[in-house]
Amino acid sequence: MTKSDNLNDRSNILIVGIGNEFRNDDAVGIYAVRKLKKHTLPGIHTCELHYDLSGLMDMWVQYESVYVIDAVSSGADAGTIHEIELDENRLSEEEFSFSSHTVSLSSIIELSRAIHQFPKSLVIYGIEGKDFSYGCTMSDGVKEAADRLINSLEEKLRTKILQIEGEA
Amino acid sequence: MKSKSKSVKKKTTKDKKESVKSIHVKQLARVEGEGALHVKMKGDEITDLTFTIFEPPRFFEAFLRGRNFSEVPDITARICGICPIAYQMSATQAIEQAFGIQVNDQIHDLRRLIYCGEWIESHVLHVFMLHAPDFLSYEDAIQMAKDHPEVVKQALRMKKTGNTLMTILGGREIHPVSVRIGGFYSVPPKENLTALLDELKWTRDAAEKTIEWTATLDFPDFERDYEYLALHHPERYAIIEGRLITNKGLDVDISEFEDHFVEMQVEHSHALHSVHRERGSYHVGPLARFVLNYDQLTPAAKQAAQHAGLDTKCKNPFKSIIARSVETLYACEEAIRIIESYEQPEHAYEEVEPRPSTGYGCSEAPRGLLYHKYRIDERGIILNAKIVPPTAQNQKTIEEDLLDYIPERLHLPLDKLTWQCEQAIRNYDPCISCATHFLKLTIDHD
Repeated sequence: MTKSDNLNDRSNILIVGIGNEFRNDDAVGIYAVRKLKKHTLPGIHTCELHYDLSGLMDMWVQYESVYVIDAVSSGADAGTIHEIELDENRLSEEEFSFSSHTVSLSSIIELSRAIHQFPKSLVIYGIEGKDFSYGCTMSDGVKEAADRLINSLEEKLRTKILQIEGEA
Repeated sequence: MKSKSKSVKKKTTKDKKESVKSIHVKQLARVEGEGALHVKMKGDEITDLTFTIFEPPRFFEAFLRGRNFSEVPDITARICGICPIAYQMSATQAIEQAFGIQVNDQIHDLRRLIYCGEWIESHVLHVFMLHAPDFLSYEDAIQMAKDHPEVVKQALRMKKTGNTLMTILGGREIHPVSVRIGGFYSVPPKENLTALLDELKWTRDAAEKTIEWTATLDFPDFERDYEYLALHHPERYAIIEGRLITNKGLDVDISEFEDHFVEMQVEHSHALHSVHRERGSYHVGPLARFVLNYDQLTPAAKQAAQHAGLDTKCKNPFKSIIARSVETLYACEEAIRIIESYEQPEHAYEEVEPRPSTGYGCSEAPRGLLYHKYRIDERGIILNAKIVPPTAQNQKTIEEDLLDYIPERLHLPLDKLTWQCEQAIRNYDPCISCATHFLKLTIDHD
């Protein structure tokens, strides 16, 4: 997806869901972004990434604010929501490395920084998963956490859009 | 065949020292999949060296048994996220040969075209992101990007060209879904392909600059007398067609692969080692293809290689980074040629009627020769499958390279020596995920 594919660019906000639909809790990022898309907040662009994250660098540099939702495995209770604002912070390689065969989210972030293709604001939401084995069922608490995150993110975005429109 | 000896020994001509030194790379970085290297030395003598592939076996050949022939391209594509087209092409070729199907020139060209996309994306990824940091003494591509952002930006744009080509023809860039036995499920209109011409021409020019750049790298002084193996076609730089040839005189039909090469199980690896039945290890990949098929390259690719100092006498595996860059240029030119002459075929595929038979397929994956064989019954059900990926073929060569490479460099600090060993492994762009599709399982009963 490129920004020009979208009709309404006024919000300059992108939400990215990352995950594998067939690895149980790893699907939570995809689930969240699909639900957000159904709610069709005006001017919010959404995108799903299932495997190769390298396209993120071209994509997110076009936006003022980017929110990424991904499953995470840090040892916390399933359903715990981690919110990480990326300014100078680095992302943990271990927690966000979902595959040994592709470039991890943390590497994409650092590479974007290095080649100056970084969005002005980037927030990562990591939803703690428990079961990353094959399957299409999310663990108890994981889906509910995604729903809580969707509700709070929608509120946040509505406020942000109103602010942007007010400034315009 | 099973090799009981897991360790290999190499003694240097230097004075013997009794100190014991070990190199352990527990998790190799910048390779596809999970592997490790263990080297044990006593004085100047290597007492044990294993390039260990511990990624779990994946049993793809067993999955294929009992499945319908039409499922094979989609199942085998899952073996690798980097080179799914290679698996689809070797599989379709083998099954079409079994059923006596000959695809028309347009379908054949489209298959070369989607394969060019895979070569571009895979080669660029390896040259810039995985191998270049070794030569420039960076820990990884991220550290390299901090000092050379424009180089990395260029690489990402080049890679995207290959990915886009695969998406247009394959439906998606990872595990494409449009390839089928007899052709494609659907083929694009000409305008969808011509839309990519400007970017392909930009990538072609970038590939020329890449060749010049790789020629400036500092290459270790290291050569071995390899047996190079590749497909060969008299008119085209072989990607999906040709005979099997080596620089040691082999020239046979692909159906004779197993008459000359055999896979061996070794205790330290989940990947089988493929060797020539009489001469042992051999070398597949971009350098082998360049050496054996130089005459079939485009004039621009030949000229760029000459300027870079790469010739058909090359025995230095570190220069595979130049060969990969030359093939990137070739793949761009070949893609441009195919797109400019493309006419959308009336039918996207040939009708397929199964018959009981055995079929053979070989194509040149980015990392080297990929062999498939299928035995199929009258209903089109797969009775047996055999897949020999390039990394399994290069694995023994990688170990032998290290046996020769390490003794001359024992004076180096351990961290630097370890780094150079990893670099030597990455010469082959090993795809460990591809190589672990099979494990020989033996159960003993009392």
